[in-house]
Amino acid sequence: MFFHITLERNMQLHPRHFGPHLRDKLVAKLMKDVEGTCSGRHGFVVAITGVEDIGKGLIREGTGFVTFPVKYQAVVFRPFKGEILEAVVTMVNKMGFFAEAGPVQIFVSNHLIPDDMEFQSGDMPNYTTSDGSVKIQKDSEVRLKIIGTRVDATEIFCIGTIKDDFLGVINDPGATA
Amino acid sequence: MARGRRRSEDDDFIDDDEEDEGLMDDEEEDEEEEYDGGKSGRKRRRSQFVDDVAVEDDEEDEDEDEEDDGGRRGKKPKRRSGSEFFELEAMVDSDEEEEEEEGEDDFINDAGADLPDHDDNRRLPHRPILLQEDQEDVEEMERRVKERYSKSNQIDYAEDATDVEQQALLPSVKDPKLWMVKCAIGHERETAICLMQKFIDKPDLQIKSVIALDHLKNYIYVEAEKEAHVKEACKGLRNIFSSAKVMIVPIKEMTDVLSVESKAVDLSRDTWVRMKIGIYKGDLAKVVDVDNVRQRVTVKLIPRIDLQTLANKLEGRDTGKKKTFNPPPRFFNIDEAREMHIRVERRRDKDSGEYFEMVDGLMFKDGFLYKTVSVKSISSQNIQPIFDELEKFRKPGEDADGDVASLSTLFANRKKGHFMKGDAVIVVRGDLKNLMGWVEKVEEDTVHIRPKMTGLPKTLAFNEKELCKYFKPGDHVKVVSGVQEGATGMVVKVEGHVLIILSDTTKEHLRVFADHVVESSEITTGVTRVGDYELHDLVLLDNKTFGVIIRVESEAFQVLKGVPDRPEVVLVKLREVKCKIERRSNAKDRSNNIVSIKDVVRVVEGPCRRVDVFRFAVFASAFLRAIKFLEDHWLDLFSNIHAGSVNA
Repeated sequence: MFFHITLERNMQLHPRHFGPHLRDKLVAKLMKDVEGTCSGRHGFVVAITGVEDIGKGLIREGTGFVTFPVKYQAVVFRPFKGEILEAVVTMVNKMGFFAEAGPVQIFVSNHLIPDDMEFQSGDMPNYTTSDGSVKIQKDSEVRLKIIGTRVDATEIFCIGTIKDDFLGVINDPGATA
Repeated sequence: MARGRRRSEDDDFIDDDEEDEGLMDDEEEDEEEEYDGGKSGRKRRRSQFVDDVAVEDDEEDEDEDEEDDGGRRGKKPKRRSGSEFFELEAMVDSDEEEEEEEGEDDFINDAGADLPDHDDNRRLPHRPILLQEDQEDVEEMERRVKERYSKSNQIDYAEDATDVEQQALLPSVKDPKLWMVKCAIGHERETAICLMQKFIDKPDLQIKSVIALDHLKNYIYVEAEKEAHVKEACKGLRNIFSSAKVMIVPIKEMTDVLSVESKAVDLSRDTWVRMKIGIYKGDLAKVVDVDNVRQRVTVKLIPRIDLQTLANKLEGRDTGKKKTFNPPPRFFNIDEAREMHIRVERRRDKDSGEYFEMVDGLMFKDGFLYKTVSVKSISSQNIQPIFDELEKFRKPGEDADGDVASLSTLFANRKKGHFMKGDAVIVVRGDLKNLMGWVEKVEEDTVHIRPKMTGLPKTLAFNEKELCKYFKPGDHVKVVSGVQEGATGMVVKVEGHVLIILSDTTKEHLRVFADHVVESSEITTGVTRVGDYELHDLVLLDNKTFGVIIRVESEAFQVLKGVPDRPEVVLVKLREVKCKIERRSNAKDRSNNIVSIKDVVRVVEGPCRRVDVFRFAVFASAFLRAIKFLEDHWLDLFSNIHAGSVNA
């Protein structure tokens, strides 16, 4: 789920950036540092939408670095248990498939794929129903439900299921081609 | 036993006996009634004896049936007299066992104190009573019985005797001794009964009691004051060798003779056991039936039968040499057997009503072999069936409840402190089956849980064995015992009490028992180290081949061999690994730049071109990562990164 929240961070800035564009430099560095990171509490920081407040800088003794407390607003993405997501399949193997929803990697085990879908190995490994009408392969788009999340320092890993009503392939590039 | 002899010996008596049979019953009833009026405690005791008689009588029937097939008529009175005698003996025995030393001791004291009176008592129900018909004698007997048990009534059995009291009851030097007498093996009970019979026939025998223990073969115990008395009693018994020495049981050990063994082997249906002997040695088997009396169990096995040999045997052809190998376990297939002209009979088991296929005296059902074996030839302790074995046993149609069997075995192997506060549990047995809850408190075997359902008491107490841990898909767990110990992962699926976990490290499925895991947010890499070798190590298998460890199992590795043409993964035992390749070699990339460990490279050729830049941590890990992402294309990758340089 996406959230628009206010976050705080202490930024350290090198003395060489001190000058008329200090503020811009600070924001640029903030974006570089924060966007795309992941925290267990807030999830992935997708984008910074604005800087609310930059506090007074504190010069570090010895190094000359200055620490600024920065309040900023950001869009974060955090997957939750039970959440329904749309994701793109990145890899299919006999144990299930991996899909990505933005920065989040989701694994759907073959136990959580409907029983009528079977794994077909080959050039393009896929899961197919017995009548061949539905096919999950690389680059397919699926709608899935997250049943578990594991948050590391740098990534969030989820397992999902498509064994439920209205879940499964929503747009299959392979089928239309 | 010759019927004629008995008849001539006490012809009158037998007639009396038979005539009196009705009367006897009356008398007994009278007794009961009178006792009703008397102390209730005594009545209880009396009725206990009656029960005992019933039980003992049955057993005796069996024994005697084996012994002789004499005429029914002649036998009847004898049997009756035997059971009369049994009444007393059984009473003594059961007392001793139930009340442990107390009963035993009390009896001994009693007997020691006034021996003649006691002897009278013994014979009373047998002979004199039958001859006496007036009410007075019943009263007389009641008086005697009262007298005899007045003593025991003073000791309150219901209360827990203190240690001191217990001590006072232990046999002392004044009490009769216990003697161990060697007898023919397998005839212990018979010998004891013979001695009893002898006691009835010859009232001047000086022994007090005879004990045959089921677990002690080759010996019986005789209680008597002197060794000579024992020898006298044993003289002429065909099951006791005249040369046999009579050994005294030290006073200290006397109580041990009759103490109940607490280590009762809990063999019940559906438990997993392992065979201890024969060609099935070490094989997993499932108990389907237990016969406690005969100490035999029927187990279900995957047969190890060589059909060809069986066919030869049935056709009378001699195979010549004796087979030395063990046929692998395989399900029995009737059609296959028929093809080999093996006669397969279909027979109904008279007890269970199920149909079995019979081949050469062996019973088969659904491909399994049903075998009846002695309890001693199986081991039921610490059985940890591994998954492969269980899978084989599982019938395709069997639902999740099928692993109730494995459950009971698992429970037996549970560690102490299995449940902890906060654990989610589910009730697996009893009325409240399938009730979920959380552990609140654990006391020894009792677990107090807070049920999930509303409308129930705040906490409910369960036996530990009735509970099983419960997990939901998505829970992050750690495996704490079993083969996969140490691994962590997320629960993908719950199949009964088996969890399928997606391992954090390998992103592979593990199957574990719910009992073996705990909920944990910890993320471990699982077992990554065995001996000197670690996951991702480059190892030398022999002089020619090398490979990369891609998975560590217990005492074995899966090694991706460095063969340029095809992906070859082999399972290698720890001892088969020759050494680790520590050499830090450099390789050249396509433009002849030197690539060394920890450099970052990009695969530019072949189908793996799209693979992102990865750190060239160790040469080996290049394979590894590639495999992880591109199982199919790994070999192109392999050839792109010069394999030869590793070898060099």
